[in-house]
Amino acid sequence: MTSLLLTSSIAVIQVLVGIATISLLQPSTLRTLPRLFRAGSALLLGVAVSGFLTLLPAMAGATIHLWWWGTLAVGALFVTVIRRTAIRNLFTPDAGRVCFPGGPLAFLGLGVLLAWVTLDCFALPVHEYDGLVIWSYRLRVLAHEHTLFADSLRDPERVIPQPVHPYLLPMCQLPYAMIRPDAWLRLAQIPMVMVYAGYLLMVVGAAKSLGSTRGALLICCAGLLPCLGFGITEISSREPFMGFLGFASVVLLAFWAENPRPGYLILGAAAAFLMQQTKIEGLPFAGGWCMGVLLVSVGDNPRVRFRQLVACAVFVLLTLPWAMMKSHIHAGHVDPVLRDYSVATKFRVSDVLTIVRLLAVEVTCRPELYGLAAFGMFAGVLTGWKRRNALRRLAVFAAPLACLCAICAIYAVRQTELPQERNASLTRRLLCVLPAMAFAAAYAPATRRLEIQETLNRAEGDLPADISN
Amino acid sequence: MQKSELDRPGLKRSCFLVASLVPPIVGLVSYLAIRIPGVRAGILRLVPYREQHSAAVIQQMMAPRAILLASLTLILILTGTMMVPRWRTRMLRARALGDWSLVLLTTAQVLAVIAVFLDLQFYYARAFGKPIGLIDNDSVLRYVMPQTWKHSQQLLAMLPSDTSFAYGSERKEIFYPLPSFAYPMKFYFRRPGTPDWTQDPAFAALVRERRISYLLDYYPFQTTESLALRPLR
Repeated sequence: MTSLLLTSSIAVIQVLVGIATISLLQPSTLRTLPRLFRAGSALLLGVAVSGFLTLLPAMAGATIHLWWWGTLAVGALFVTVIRRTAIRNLFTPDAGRVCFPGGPLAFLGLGVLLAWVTLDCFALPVHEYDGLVIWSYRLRVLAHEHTLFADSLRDPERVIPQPVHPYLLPMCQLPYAMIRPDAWLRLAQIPMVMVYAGYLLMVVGAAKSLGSTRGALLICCAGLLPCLGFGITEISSREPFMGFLGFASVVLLAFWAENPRPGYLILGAAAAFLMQQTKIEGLPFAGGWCMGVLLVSVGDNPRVRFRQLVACAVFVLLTLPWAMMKSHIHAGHVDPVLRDYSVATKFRVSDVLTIVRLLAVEVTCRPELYGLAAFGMFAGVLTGWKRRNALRRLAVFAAPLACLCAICAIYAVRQTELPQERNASLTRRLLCVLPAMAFAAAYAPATRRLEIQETLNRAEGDLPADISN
Repeated sequence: MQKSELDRPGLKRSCFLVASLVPPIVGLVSYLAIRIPGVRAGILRLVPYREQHSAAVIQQMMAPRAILLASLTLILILTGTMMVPRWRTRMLRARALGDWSLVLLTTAQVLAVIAVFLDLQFYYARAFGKPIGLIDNDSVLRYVMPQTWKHSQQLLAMLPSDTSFAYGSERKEIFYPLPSFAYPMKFYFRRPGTPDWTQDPAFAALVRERRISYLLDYYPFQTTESLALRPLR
């Protein structure tokens, strides 16, 4: 009974942290976000930000106990009380109502996926190799020894530690594992259910902002992706988590492109840099995201956007914990893949072609994992490209494409180093980019008013433009 | 200024029709092709790891291709319907063509989701011999890595839980599951460079500093003598 109470309390605290985080946005910015997107991002950021806030003292050498989450709850409550007027805006209804073609059917599918994830996470423990062997080990050590500075994690001579890996996700799962050490592997999945529910809410919210047809395409490609529902325990828990954060950051970038409010930029940057704290693939994603921000800034209202960019640059500080961790710990053995990747001596064009072939077969021939998402995305790009603003479109593609290129590069290098069966991990790495890629494919930026006017003027014999009409 | 050829409504509509039809048709052809054994074998030759990898085998067992094929057949029938002008006009009055494509895509996707959901219920019940809520951690570990799980439990039963090992095998690859399952036992990835370990000063220093008790050679896929233990004190 006590453990049930504690488990529910931790979940509530994580939600509170999420609400407190999102309430830091300006009320007007909050109101412009779709309501479901607000709710979804509160869930996702609640888990991720509470994990990050736990990571900071853990990195400084503190021993983590359950009372730490009590402190987080007090802090979150304090912020919530201070920002209570902003929180009222969390529940403001959206301006317009959007009906999706095939909507009820799509919501049935989303419901089935959420039911499966809930059932799976509570009834079945982790099923995949890395989760069982490496990440579970780290979580188990943290739950027993309560510190990142345990020899089991830091001693470079030990077999498993791999201390250069980022520790955000274990920190999100840690309180649950500490409550019931006998059922730690199962309880640690609770935050995954929360972030998945948050992700589905965000997909529907983002879909509403895209309109009925392209919104339905987004739900079909990003929401109904079976691999994201089944992948959490069957494939890996890190990659879906990365995918959810990536989706949030790219959607917020698109919102910022449409409407330059600093709140979008801050939340998007936070999501992108939290990815970098979760897995190494987060680094190219965050790099691509920054490139996307620059592309948007150059093309539209550059003065305002660059001023916001400078103000938000402080969020790059989020990358510090991992950077500090890497610089302070001597790795016991250097993975040959990483060594060769760093000097890029094994990079061959033929290996890139091999990876492109594997990627194509992997995505188009896995109905049970990717469904028809690849074809949906293709249709999205094809039918959306006629919309003019190519720079914005490229900007939202930048982050997932950078991450995809990095993944391809990793596999291209390892073709000569590791046996063929190691290519199977391509499936789980793709989960990092698929949701963001689906949004980028469905997103069709409307032609700017000025451009429409110019086009009309040219068509009618170069009459002077009067955009005020 | 003359309007572009592409701006003609008829041509635009045709382009849109072709663009909307490409994905379901390509999808249908791909999935039908998978059903032909020769083509399927050819595709698997492109991704040879898939048949060898245990996780991939599990995922293949979950693939509800038959149901997906049915849904794609549905797409074909509806697409065929769209080709008949009178039927198409009636359907288009109700909804735009792009919306129809999305309804079909969504239908297929939802069917795949539900099919995988149902398939997994049966898969786990079949694999573990218990309903899904009654499967415990140990059952899963035993199922995923039966030998290593058994060996880790043997080690934990044989020796105190704080024992330290110098760990490895002649193969250079590190086998992680044993140290993970046998936590809190301590495994150090270091082997002596000489047959007599005392003659390797670096190794002897590690043994002394970390209080390593055994040299453990592990052969996970051997049926006999998988754990070769050698005391170092």
